Amino acid sequence: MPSSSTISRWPGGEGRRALPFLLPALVVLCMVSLYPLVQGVSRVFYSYRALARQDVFSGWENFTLLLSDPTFSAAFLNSIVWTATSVAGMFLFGYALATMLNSKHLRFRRFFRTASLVPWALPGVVISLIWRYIFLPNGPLNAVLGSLGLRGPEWLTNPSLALWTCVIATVWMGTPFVTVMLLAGLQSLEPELLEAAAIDGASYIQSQVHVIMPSMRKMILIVLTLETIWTFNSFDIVFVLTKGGPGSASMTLPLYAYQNAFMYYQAGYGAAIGVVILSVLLLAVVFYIREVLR
Amino acid sequence: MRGRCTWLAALFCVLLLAGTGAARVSLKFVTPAWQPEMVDEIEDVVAEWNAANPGIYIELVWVPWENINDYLLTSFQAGQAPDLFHQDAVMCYEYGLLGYAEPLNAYIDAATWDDITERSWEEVADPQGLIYGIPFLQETQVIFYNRAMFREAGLEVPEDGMLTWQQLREYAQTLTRRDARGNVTTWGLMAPLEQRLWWCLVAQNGGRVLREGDDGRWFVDIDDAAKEAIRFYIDLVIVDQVMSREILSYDFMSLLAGFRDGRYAMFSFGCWVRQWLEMVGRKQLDWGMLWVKGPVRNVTEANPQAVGIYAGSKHKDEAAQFLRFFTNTENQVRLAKADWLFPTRSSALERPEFRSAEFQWDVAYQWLPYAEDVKPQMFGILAWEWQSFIPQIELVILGRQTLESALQAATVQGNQFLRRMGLQ
Repeated sequence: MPSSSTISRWPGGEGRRALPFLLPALVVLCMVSLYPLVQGVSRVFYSYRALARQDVFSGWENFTLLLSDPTFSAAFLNSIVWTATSVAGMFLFGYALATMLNSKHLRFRRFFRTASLVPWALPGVVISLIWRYIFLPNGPLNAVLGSLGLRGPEWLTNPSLALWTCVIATVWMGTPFVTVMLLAGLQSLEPELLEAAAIDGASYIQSQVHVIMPSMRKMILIVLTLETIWTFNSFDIVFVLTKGGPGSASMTLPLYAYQNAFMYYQAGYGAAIGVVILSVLLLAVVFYIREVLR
Repeated sequence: MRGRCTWLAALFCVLLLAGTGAARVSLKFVTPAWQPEMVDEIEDVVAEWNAANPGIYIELVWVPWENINDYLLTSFQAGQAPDLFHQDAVMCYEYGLLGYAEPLNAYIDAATWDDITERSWEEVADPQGLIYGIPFLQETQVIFYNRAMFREAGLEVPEDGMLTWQQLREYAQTLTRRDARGNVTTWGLMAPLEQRLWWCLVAQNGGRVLREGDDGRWFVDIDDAAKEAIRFYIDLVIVDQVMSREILSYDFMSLLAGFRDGRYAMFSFGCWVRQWLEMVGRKQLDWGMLWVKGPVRNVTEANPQAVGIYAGSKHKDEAAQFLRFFTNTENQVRLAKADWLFPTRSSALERPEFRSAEFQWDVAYQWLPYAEDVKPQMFGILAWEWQSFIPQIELVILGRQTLESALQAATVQGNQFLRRMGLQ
């Protein structure tokens, strides 16, 4: 049985013999992942002259233009706020739900565990359409507020609310994954650990903060990192709910990249925004890999 | 013997079917039409064609207006676009310059050339005179007003239905209502940024935002008349406070409900909205239409729609046959009536129903002579507008920038954008 270090040694031994078997997968990976990535990054240095239907080398111009583009600045800030608040919301709700679903006192536990997965089973566009309906000025949410004597706001068209409306939908969509992962983590905890904490007189909150959470640190970090990557890169919810508006109040980087590349004939500019997204996400990916390999 | 006959009959049927299948051409026709009457009418027209032309089958594909451009651009780039497409005329022109839309000059007969107005042809023609779509619908942009509110406020609409800019401002001020705490309960006017009242005002004032040089290069060059028009529009929000910041983004059904419920006393939109006011108001809402008189000239937005043929279609001749049928006089009348718009053929426009007092067709019709595309016919006009110009205007409306600095930034960034597009 060769050791992992033998396999990973490149010139010779098992590693060399494994190469032909890995080659098809590597070729496919390069075609579907590496080639588009290289293509996308190389486009950054070109401006597309739509009328002449040609790419013209423009050096770093696309990046310098980004710095003076107010919509890009707004989109960058919105993406940070959107991702941070959404992931925080997902974690809070996910943790609370996981704790509840892990409780032995909960009746119909299996039913609730299954039901909590429903948002995860739905496509993002469907979820977005459902929330769009809920948030319509004459939609169910404002109808409920109206029955309480409150005048519901314009959720999707008010510049102060549009981004938060997207956050609510994102949290609803992302919470089940966090719940399932944290529930798995909770179930893998040694019961003796909690019993010891109880015997030592730890309160419920103290047990959560000083015993359970530190024990699940790795799981929590992985979940948060994955959700950060997915949310920052997510497109469907903002596209369907607000299209980035009003103005650029809820514009995010993926949506702005899409608009430039596919609506404004600015493929190079869109690619530059894509590279910014990639750079931000690389930080999260490096962190994720470090945590997984630790 | 009997078995052999059965086999022969079956073989004959198979050959017959195969022969029929081989002769039949199937074409995809994508349309963003969405108003219920229009959807029914298009289905009827296509069904009639399919019944009368078994050799050329038209399959309808429905895509919403808000996604039609994305759908078509990505389909064109993938080489899998529908054979026929219904779009804004300005986009047919752009698709033509990009090489995606087929020049139709060879397919248009002399009678059609003469029948469709010159102004409509200009919308889909490139500088060499190549035509990339057959215009079949047009509109007039109007301002809808609540008659009861006007009566209550003692306001009267002039006989020609047109207000001066100053009158529009004064009327909006009079109609704007606030509660005891100063919160607005009724906005005098609602003119969504997307609906381009501001473009009409620029044109009415003889202003210029984009300039084409003699060598065909384009520049952002906002003159004083254009600045005055844009300032007038923005001041309705910032200074006069008779128009809500909701103009930045709106929901169509909420806008209608807001008009019905007295949240907006006037709103600017295309004349086709009459159909929806009849539905939403359940025929009890007393509404009228007016328009704005230009200081320099009278202009309203025509916003024509056209049907084009995909340059990569394998059946262009068959597509052109259907296109001729779809845009003939009789069908233009049917489709325009169903969409509450106006046809582009003079022979169709002559029909009395388009000047009928019922549903105020006559009022919308009276401004048709002033209807034109208020935006300059520049390649990428919508991309320029929404990528570099509108974001600056939005900052002014949100109170984060002065108009002067916004227009200055719009000029610098707009010219950069045009240069990147290869227009300078």
